[in-house]
Amino acid sequence: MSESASDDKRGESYVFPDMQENIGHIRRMLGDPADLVIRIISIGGGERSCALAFLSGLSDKAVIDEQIVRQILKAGRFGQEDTGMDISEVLGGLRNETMSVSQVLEVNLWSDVIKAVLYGDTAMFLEGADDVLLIGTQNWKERSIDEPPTEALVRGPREGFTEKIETNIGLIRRGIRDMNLRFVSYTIGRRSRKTLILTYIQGIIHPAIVEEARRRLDTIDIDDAPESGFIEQWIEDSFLSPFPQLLHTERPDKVRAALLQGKAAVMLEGTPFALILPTTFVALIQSPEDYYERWLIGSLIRLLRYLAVIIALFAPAIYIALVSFHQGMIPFKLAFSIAAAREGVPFPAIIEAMVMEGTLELLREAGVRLPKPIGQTIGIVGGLVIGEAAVQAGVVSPIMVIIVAVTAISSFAIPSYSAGIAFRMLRFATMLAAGILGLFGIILTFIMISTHLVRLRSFGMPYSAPFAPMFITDWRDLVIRSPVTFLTKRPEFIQTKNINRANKRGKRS
Amino acid sequence: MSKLLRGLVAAASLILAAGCWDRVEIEDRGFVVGSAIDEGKDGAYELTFQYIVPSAMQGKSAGGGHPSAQSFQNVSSTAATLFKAARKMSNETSRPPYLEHNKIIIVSERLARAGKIQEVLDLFVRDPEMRRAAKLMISVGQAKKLLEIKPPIETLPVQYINSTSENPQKSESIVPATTMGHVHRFLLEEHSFAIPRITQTDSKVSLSGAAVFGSDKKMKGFLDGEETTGKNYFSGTIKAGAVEVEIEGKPLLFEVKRASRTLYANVSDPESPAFTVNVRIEGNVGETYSHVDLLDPQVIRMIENRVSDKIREIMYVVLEKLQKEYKADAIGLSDYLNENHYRVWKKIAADWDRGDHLFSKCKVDVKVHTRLRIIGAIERVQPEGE
Repeated sequence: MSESASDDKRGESYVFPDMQENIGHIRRMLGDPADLVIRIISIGGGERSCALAFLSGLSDKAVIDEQIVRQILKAGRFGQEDTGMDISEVLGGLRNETMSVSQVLEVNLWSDVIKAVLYGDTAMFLEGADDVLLIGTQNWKERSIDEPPTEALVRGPREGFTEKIETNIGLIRRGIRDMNLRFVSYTIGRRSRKTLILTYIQGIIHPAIVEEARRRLDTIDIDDAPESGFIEQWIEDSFLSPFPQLLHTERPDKVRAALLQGKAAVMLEGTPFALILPTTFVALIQSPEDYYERWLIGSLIRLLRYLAVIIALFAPAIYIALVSFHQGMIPFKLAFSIAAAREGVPFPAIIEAMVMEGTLELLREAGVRLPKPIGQTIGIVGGLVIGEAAVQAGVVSPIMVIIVAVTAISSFAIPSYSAGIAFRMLRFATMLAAGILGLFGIILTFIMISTHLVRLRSFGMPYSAPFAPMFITDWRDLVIRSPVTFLTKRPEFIQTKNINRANKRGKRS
Repeated sequence: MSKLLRGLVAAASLILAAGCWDRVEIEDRGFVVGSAIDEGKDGAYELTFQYIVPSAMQGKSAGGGHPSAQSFQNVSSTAATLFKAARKMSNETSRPPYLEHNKIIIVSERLARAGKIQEVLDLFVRDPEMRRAAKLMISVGQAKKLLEIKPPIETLPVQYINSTSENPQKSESIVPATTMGHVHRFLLEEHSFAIPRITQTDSKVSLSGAAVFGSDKKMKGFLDGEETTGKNYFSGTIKAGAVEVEIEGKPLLFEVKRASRTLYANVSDPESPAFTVNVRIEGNVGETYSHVDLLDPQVIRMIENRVSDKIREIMYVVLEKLQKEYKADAIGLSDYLNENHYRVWKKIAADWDRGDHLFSKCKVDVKVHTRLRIIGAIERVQPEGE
């Protein structure tokens, strides 16, 4: 099947006039699979007959039964051979007067036929005709539109993308009823032939971004892209960076907001995760809820998340540095209580921290893999029992357990899961640096991370904008999320073609 | 590839060889919280460090552990120099002394009187591990005895002394804590100064009083509690206070809530500048046993005048002592001259409280203005006419 499909891509072979020959050919090409259904019907019960070919798992049986087979059986006037009608007229008649299906195409290339059947359409071969009718009967079981489990919000729409690309396009269109909304379609995968959609709003987005995105998408040549992660890794700017340069999301509202900011999104068939490009560092820390809640609450939550990033990156490192090098910087009484708690702990702080953080990562990974009910048990066993037992046994100090717990909680407060992983990864680097060089090492790592962030780019956009190339107007929506009436401009750093997004004075009539 | 490998090896050895060398885990540090310096035999110094015992401290605060164990350990050693003494201590304790949390330094009276304060302080100022924020005190008698007091409230003697020295908020007879940094400055500027005096009575300490140092870096003598109060009024370092006066034969306590001091100097004759010290005081009636009508403005005037007289009296006593007996300007008159009459000060600086002792000869006029603001929440306790 696979070989003939790729051979036919060159489009040299045409459909035969003989129906039986066609049936034989399609059987041969697909390797006579179990799910290929061939149905031969005589039209209107007359002498003329036709054959329907479709794949049972991909096609809508109800439509084929009711709207195609039944209508053909009733179309008596096309069934007689002596009506004087030309065979192409018969085909046209069947197409235009018989089928009560909206999508019907007339083709004569085998490659088109095979492709359509593999997508779930039905091919109708008419005895003696040069052309084939392709009838749109695609239908496969689809998950309902649920709240995305990885990005749940307290307040906000409860809809999430599904695996079906048409549904996802619909979800975006449903929120932006603008004629400038564009969906550019690509076929990805030499063998999987999946649909990929690049979407943006013409007139808002800077054309260079679209151009660059199209150029990169055009380079993708892979047999299959099972998930948008493959696309992300193919088109990202730097594969060495720990930071995700495209933001993935399951939330249509997040994608819509990005489109209106002048960004683009990539959606792949078969995965609910859309990619937003270009992405900045601060976008990883923002959540749609910042905007849905009132501005004071939104700003505070956002500040809290910046704090979470700092804790997730540096808390264990600072603990190590203070305990192993700079005891003089710890307040008087705290220093003694840490010293007392560490009395009898056999490891230096760096080893202690590495062991505990490593255990935590193990627990997290185990919790993800296990079925839900067991996962919770693991959380309790790991978090409470191991922690408590380790302290009781004197292997780690209680303060280390507190530090590890706070760090873990902070790293899960970061909305983007992949950004959370990036910070956790860098945490081990800061811990090592602190263990070797103390606070000086932490500062060195901080400088290295900052340097990397500043020179990183996402689709040509500086990753650290609007911090590092400073765009002061964008600071309204950065650390502090200003009231909605103040957010009248689209982000400046992204150089949108259309700047205003709201009129502060409101509607004047 | 080999280039890359070589680079990696170089980077790794750079980090691993240069790093970690000064890493000492917190539980391996011997935390010194307080030190005492006494005179040893033949001009040697006896250095005493108070080390904490962390596990015992933890036991006391968490309720478990070893409640009977002592939370501190004092170690003494004698040597010709303090550094040597500290080094000798490392032979006797399992954890080398770590002085970044050294809160107080107590120097014995004998060393101070012998003018050895700057020798004593040299190590504490020179060594980068020392904190300039450590407080300096002069003990009456042996200094190391003070580190052996077992305070019932606090776990550590040093904590007890340290917290008590921060009480000027409630007591007028404690000199504000003087840190090593301050004293270092005074010594460099050849300035007279006063630092807290610490005395031991049974299992208690008292920080009331002050030790006065002359510009020759020798301790001249002590001021008692009341004299220290007067000194505090002069320096403007009064945060709170209580003044007892007699009204109609019965005591009335005036609580000082706010006090400020302004200085004025007439330097028309540089050889003998004349100072006017204005002290403004505000406060309440804290307690009284007399039956006067506190709502009567006449009575209020009277109380205010009595308080002013009392304070002026206290101030003159200390002034007399500093000018005539100690010949040390520990009340900051020279600072005023330095800041406001620089040219004059330049000329007489060398003769201020040494040489010709101009300080002892100059005229100081004290003016106290008291305002009674609040008479208290009640008007009287007893019915009228009783």
